Amino acid sequence: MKDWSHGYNVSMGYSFGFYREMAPDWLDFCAWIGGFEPPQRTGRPFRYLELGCGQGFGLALLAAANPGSEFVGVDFQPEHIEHAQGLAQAAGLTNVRFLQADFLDLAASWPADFGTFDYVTLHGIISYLSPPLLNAVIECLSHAVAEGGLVYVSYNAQPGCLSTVPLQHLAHRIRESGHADGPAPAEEAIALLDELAAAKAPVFQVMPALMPRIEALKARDRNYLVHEYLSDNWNLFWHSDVAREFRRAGLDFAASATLADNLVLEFLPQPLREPIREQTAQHVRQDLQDFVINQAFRRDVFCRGAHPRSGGAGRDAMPVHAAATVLPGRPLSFDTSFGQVDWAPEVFANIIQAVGEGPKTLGELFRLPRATQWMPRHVLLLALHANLLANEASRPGDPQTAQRFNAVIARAVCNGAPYDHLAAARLGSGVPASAVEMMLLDAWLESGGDHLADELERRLSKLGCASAKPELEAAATAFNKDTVPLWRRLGVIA
Amino acid sequence: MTMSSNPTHGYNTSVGYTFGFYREMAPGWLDLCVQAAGYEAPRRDGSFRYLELGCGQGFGLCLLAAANSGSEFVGVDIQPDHIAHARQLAESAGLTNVGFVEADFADLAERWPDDLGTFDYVTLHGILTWVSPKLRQAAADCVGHATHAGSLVYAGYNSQPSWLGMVPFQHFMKLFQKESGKPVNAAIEDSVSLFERLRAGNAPGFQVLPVLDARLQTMRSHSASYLSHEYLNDYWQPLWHTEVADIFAQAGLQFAGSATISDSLLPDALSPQLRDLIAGQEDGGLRQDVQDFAINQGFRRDIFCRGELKPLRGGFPADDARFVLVTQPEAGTELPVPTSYDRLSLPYRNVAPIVQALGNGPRSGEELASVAGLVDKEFRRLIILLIQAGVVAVMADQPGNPDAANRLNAAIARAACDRGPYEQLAAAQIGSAIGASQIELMLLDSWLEVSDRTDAKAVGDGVWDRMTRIGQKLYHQGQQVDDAIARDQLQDVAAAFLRDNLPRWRQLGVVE
Repeated sequence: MKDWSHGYNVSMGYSFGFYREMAPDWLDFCAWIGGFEPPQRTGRPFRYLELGCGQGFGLALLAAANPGSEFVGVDFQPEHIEHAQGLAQAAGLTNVRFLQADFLDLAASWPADFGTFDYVTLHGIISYLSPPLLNAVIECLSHAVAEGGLVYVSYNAQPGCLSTVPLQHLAHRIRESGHADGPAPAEEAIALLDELAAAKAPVFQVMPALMPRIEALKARDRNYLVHEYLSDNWNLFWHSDVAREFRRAGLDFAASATLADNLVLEFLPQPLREPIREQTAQHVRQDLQDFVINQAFRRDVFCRGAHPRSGGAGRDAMPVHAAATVLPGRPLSFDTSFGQVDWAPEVFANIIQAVGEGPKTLGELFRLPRATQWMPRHVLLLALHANLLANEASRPGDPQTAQRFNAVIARAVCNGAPYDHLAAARLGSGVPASAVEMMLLDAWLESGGDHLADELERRLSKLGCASAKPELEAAATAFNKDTVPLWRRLGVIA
Repeated sequence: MTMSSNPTHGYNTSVGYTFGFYREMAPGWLDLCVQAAGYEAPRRDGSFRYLELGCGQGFGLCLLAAANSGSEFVGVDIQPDHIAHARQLAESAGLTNVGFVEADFADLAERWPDDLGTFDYVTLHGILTWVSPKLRQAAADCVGHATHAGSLVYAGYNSQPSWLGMVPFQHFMKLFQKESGKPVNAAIEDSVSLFERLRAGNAPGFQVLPVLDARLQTMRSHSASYLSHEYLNDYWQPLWHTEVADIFAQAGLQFAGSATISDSLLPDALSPQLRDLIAGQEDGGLRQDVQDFAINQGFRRDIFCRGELKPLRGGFPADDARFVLVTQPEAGTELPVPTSYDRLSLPYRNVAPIVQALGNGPRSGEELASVAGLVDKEFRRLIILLIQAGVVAVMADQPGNPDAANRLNAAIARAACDRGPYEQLAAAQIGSAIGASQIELMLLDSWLEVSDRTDAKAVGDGVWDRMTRIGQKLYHQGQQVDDAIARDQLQDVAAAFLRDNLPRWRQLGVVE
């Protein structure tokens, strides 16, 4: 069992996530922000590969949102692949396939029918790979990435994750000592650190970031704890480590898929900005920036044969949508790696008003009258980062395909599945949706907008949840009034 | 021996390592610490064999060989310049019981030379921190080849979690050196000043890593040689105890205690909550890791034993242990005792009875307990703290011939008069070495030369001549002493040396 999984903890399935940063158009946009031309794919569908696709939810969602393009997912766990295939089949997706394979085998003999891909993504996996497997992944990338193709790789980063080393180590040792399995060793380690903190162990004074992390972990689900802290391999990379490895596959760093990370230098105070700017090597600048902001998680975009972009107007015509319903007059706070940003309502009110009437191009929004001291460029990019705005796909998909997928997802959530995103054809990506919204969608698709509150109550009670009538009514009203029109515009529903 | 493409395995070889001696590596000290941890020290029949893996310049090993002349010592290092220095030092002191081997752990692990045999003591100081995981494994394999049932192994290494905070600094220092291709000293200066700017800019990275902030403050007080050695190797990995214990377990070794003798007071010395939490861990390895986490351990000195450990019969210290005074604490002041868990201090009145008793010569543990008016646990604690503080030491069971120590010490003293790098003297009666300042070494050199060894003026004049020869000035409390009166003052210094140092050094077997 252990050998077969290469030390990846398979005793519990990994969570069912979708990350918008892995959507092809988002990657294009980030590469462009980073100063590079995205892959030239006008007029032709693209090919997209996810290495380590887990349960395949994210990939199936992208396939549903981009029905004209081709998606391939690889994972070594048979039960992951089984789940992924079941999901694709249920949603009638014909443009995605899943393959159970080992990176070592793939690297040794790359399947002839795989060809090359415009996008290759790896979410989190390199943090848990042994050195030989990491090497195999690099070889897979040399095979897989088309000229001009983009690669997304996310990983636990130095130095922000240093403070969790003791937790990882203790959880691991508790498992090794052999008296606990499943998530129990991680939970025991958390309890032990709690007790040490209560006993005022001096170490917490020199590791001020540890306890806040522990507190945050208590809210995470048990699958996450197993995945994150109980793998046999647990790598903490600096960006330069990853860049050095990826260079071996002919890949160069283009940008961060965490949009705001591309703006760090513009927001740092001068005494911190200058030492970073002075560094001549890109990877040294990135490492130093990560030290300054105490980076804990990176989402890097690499490019094969990166072409620096010429001119600055290339994305002016990109349409952007309102990604969420925003109540007027409310301030907004969101996190970036350079700190929390607090916006008064007037900072973004004119943008929200503009996109409320329908999609606008980036150029149109950029030229809106400047309302505050904030630079329009920063407001737009941070509004995208904060998920107020969403970029439209360069080739929006058919909403029917997305709706068919979303119907399956909504029904699964009514049966207790943990999905939390829906496909959005207009965006070629996904949008977040709460369990209540999923249930409302399921009811709405089944019987339309009437009696939604009753239908919601029925679905909630099936899962053993009780709710007060006025709350159900309010949720149903808001769904009909705000969510349905928003989702229709975004191609979540046809 | 084959030459690999990278003969140093990424180990930084451009700046010679410092000439260190660590008392925790002395065989008698290791025995004592195993006893303090509650186990019988494996019995030796008089003489023993001792191996140091990664012996550096060989100074520490030469001191031990000179202080234990009846036993056999072997040092292994990968750097030819280290081995050359070590051999030259041994030769200059006429040491015949120490040999040095230039070898690569990876090769030794694969093919252990038959004529090396096995050893009663194997020591590795620091090297586990600075080698690749592969070479760390090779070092453990070497330990497997080099030990037999009852062998003790010492491993000193930078530990988790305290060194975690220095990961970013090490990363950047190495990165800058690689990127810039600058000489080591320039690369060090670049990274230190860059981090100082980031700290001045209040970078959040510093707020979550206070250790880095604290260490950066003292960074400039370290020599380039130390900084290069500590930070500029290709590999640099602070280790948890269990990571080290795991690789030694493969060679049949088990943890037998800490060579940081004050660690034997743990976890009792901590608060009741911490003590119970640590003692409550059933797994022995986890107990050490949790303890290190609780105290924020920065450097571990682990002792492992091959084969079975027997519980200590009788108490600690043993009834027949004899103690000797190493340094005279200043009367009326608090005696500082730095430990891994606290900066303790002992009031002088608690220490005075023992110090006064030892002023008249070595005493048994029983006698000291009686003059201190302490029993059992209290006496054990006091004696452990006095050993930790470097005030007292345990006499060797069967001290070696003092001639060898005297010869090496004469060579060390002579080297100091030519700005030599050494700061210790062999002490045959304790089978170990003691610290000595440059002026003490010059006094020794002068004293060894004068015809009347009670003539303070002659000894002082001799030191004056030596200082003049190398342009060395005399300092008193940080202030340079005017040449006109320096000569007179040196006579007082020499008188104090004859009165205080010499009798103590004679007891310790430093001089005849």
